[in-house]
Amino acid sequence: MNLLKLKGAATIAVLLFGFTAPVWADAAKGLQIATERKARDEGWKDSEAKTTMILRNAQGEESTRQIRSIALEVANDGDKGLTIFDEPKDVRGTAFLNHSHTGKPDDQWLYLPALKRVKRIASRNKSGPFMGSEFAYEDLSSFELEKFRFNYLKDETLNGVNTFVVEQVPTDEFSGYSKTLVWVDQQDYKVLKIEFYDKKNSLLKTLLLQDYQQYLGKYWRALKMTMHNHQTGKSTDLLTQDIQFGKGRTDADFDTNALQRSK
Amino acid sequence: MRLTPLLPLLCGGLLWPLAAAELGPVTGKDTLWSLAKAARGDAPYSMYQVIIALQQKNPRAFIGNNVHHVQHGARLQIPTAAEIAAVDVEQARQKVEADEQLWRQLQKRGANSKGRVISATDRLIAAQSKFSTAPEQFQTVLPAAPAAPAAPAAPAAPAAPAAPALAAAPAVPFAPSAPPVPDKTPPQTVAIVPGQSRNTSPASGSASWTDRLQSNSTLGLESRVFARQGLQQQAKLHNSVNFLQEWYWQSEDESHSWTLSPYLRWDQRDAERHLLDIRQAFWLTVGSGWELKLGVDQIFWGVTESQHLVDIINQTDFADNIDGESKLGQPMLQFNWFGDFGNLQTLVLPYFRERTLAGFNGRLRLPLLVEQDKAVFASDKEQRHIDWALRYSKQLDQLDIGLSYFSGTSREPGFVPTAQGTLLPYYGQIKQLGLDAQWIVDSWIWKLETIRRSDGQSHYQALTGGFEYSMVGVFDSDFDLGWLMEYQYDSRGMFASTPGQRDLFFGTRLAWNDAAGTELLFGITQDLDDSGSRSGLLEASTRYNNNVRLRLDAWFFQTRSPEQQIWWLRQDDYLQFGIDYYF
Repeated sequence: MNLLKLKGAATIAVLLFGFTAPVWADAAKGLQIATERKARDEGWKDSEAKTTMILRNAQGEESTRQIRSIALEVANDGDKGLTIFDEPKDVRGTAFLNHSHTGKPDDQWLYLPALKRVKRIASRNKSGPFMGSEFAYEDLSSFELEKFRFNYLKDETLNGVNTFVVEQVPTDEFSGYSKTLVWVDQQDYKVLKIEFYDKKNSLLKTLLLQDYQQYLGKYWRALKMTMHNHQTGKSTDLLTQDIQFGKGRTDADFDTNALQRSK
Repeated sequence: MRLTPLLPLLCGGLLWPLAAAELGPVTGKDTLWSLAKAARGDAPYSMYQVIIALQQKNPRAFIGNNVHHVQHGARLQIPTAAEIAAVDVEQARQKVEADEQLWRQLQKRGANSKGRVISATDRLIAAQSKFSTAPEQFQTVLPAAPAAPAAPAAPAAPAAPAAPALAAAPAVPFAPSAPPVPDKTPPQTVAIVPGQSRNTSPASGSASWTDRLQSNSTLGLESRVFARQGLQQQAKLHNSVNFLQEWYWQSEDESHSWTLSPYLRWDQRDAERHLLDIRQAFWLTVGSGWELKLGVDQIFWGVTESQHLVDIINQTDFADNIDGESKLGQPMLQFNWFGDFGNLQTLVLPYFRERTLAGFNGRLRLPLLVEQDKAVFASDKEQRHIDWALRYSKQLDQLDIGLSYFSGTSREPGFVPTAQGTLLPYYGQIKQLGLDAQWIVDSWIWKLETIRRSDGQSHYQALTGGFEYSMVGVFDSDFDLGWLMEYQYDSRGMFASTPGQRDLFFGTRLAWNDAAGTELLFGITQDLDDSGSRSGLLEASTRYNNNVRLRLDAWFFQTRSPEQQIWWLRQDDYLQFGIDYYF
C-alpha cells in the first residue's frame, strides 16, 4: 500500500515538475531564444537575390523556376518584398509585391504582364503553395515574434552542431500548421531545420537549411533550402545564387508603381 | 559515385573569388562577366591556368586526374596568385582540351549504361556562366565514369565557418550538402574568415538584380472551332498565328528604361484580323515621387473581372478577343506624381487608334459589313484630336479607391448605316467620370466600378459591382477555388451599347497549384430581364514545359430575343485551342 501511495505521489510529482512547471519556464526560454534570433538578424536594411527553385515530384521528375527578388527590412512590422518570375517562361514578367504585417493580413499585389494589370490579392490565407512548390507563402514570409507562441523543448545535437529545439505555435488561425519545430544553432542562432505539422498534428514537411554564408560580417543566409513533403513524397530545393545587401532601397521600390515598372 | 562536371562549377562558382583576389578591391558594381573578362584579358592568368592550378591544389578532388571529373561534393582550396602564375598557359590549354576529349569518349562509352541527369543547379550555373568553354554535353546526361574509384563516402563536413585556413580567400559555396572528397585527413574547406564576409555572392551573373537588356519572344498558334456555320455562311474553322516581341533596356542606376514591343497577327480567313501593331514603344524615367513616360504603352484601370467600364485609355483589339482585354498600343505622354497623398496620373493622348473589328469573312461580327477604313469622327481633327485623362488613386489600408476623368474621342464606336447597306464606325467626343474601388475583408474582395459618360447631348451611367471570394486548399488538396459574382447595370437599358444592362455574372476560378500551373476560369452572364439570354466563357490553361503553355478557351451565346446584342452572335459559339511558345 505504501509503495502504491509512493508511486502515486511520484506520478503527481512527475506531473507537477516534469510537465506543468517546466512548460511555463520553457515558454520564457523559447521566447528568449526567438528574441535573440530576431535581434541577430536586425539591421540588414535591404537585400536582393536571384533564386532557383527545383520542384521534384514523388517520381523524381524535376521542374525549375527562376525568380529575382528584393527585400526591405521594416522596423516594428513585417518586411516588404518584390519578386519577379523569370521561369517558367509563360509566367515571365509576372511580379509579386508583398507587404507583410504582424497582427493583420499582409498586403499583396500581383502584376500580370499580359494585361498590364496590377491585381490585389486577398491574402488572409497564406497556407497555399508558392508557384506550385512545397513552400507555402507563409513559409517564405519574414520571421516576426508576433506570429508565434514559443516553447523551448530541449537541446539537441544536429550533425555535430549544438541546437535549441523550439516549438512555434502560429498565432494566425489561418496558418496551415498546428505547430512547427525549429532547430536553432546555439552559437549563431541560425535556423538549421524546421518541421511543419499539419492541422491534424501529423508531420507534414521538413525544411533543411544549408550552405550558410555570412554577409556584412553579421547576417547569415542559407543558400540552399530543401523542403521535403512527407505526405506526398514531393520536395523543393530553393537555391540562392546571388545575394547583395545595402543597395539603398526605399519604400518607393516597394509600391504598386514600382511593381508595374518591374521587369 | 556521382560526378560533377567541373567547368560549369568553375565558371559559376570560382572565378569570382579569383578575380576578387587578383583584381580587387571588388565593388558591388562588378559582375561575374566583367571580372572574368578582366581575368582573361590583360591579367596574366587564363582560364586554363586557373583550372590547372585548381586541380594541382586539390588533386584528390579530381577523379582520374581529369579536370572535367571533379568529385561531387568536393571542397576546393583556392590556389594563390603565385600558384596560378606558375602554370604554363599552353600546357594548361592542352591538358584541359585533352581531358575534354577523354571525357567525351567516356561519355560515349557510357551512353548505354545507366547515366544520371545532372541536376538543374548544375545546368543553371552552366547556363548562367557566359563562358563558351563549357561543352554542351555538360548540360545533358552524364554517365557514371568507368574511371571513377569506388570510395566510401566520408561524413559530411560542416559547411560554413571552418578553420580560417586561408585568410584572404573568400568563400566558395561549392557542390552543396554532398559527401566531401574521400580523405583520411579532414578535408580542407575554404572558409569564411570572420570580418572578411562579403556583400556579394560568387555565383553572380550580374551585379544588378534586374537584367539590363531583356529580349522576350512569344509565338502563338490559335485554332477556333465554331459549332455552326456563321449567320453569313462563314467557315467553322479559323486558324491564326501571332507573334509578340518585347525588348527592354534599363540604365545601370535604374532611372531610365526603354521598352519596344511589336505585335504581329495573321488570320487564315479574316483580313481584318491581320494586324501589325506597336503594343509598347516608350521611354520611361523615374525620379523621387514621380515618373515620366513618353511613347506608346498600355494602361489598365479598374478592379472588376466581368467587364471593364473604367478602363478607357487604350483602344480594344476587339478582333483579337471579345473579352476586351486585348489592347492596341496608345501614344501618350504620362506623368505620375505620387506620395503620401496618393497617386496622381496625368495623361495626354495625341493620337487615336480605331477599334479592330471582324471583317466580312470573320466570325463574331455585326450582320452588316463595317467599312473600317471609312471611320467618321465628331472632331475635325479626327485621329489627331488631343485627348487627356487624369486618375487619382489612394490606398487606405484595406480600401483602394480610384477616381478618373477622361475627355476626348470615344474608344467605343457607334455605327452609321449607309445607302449601300454597310456601316461606318462613328467616334464621338465624350467626357467620362469614373470611380473604382475595392475593399479587402479577409478572403473577400468587394469590387465596384462605375462611370458617368456624356457626349454633349446625353449622358448615361453604368456600374459593375460584386465580389471575389478565395478559398485556399479546398477538398483537402492544394487547389485554390475562387468565386466571383458581379452585377452589371447600364442606365440606357436595352439601348445600351454593351450587353451588360441588367445582368448578373457568376464565375469560378480554380487553380491546381501544380507544377504545370494548371488553372481554369468559368463564367456565365445571365440577363436578369430575359431569362433565355445568357453568355458564358471558359479559360483554361496548363504548362506543357518550360517554354510552352497550352490553352483552351470557349464562348457561348444563348438568346431567343432579337433585341439582345448577342442575337448576332447566336451562331458563334466556339472552342479555341492555343499553343503559346515562349523563347
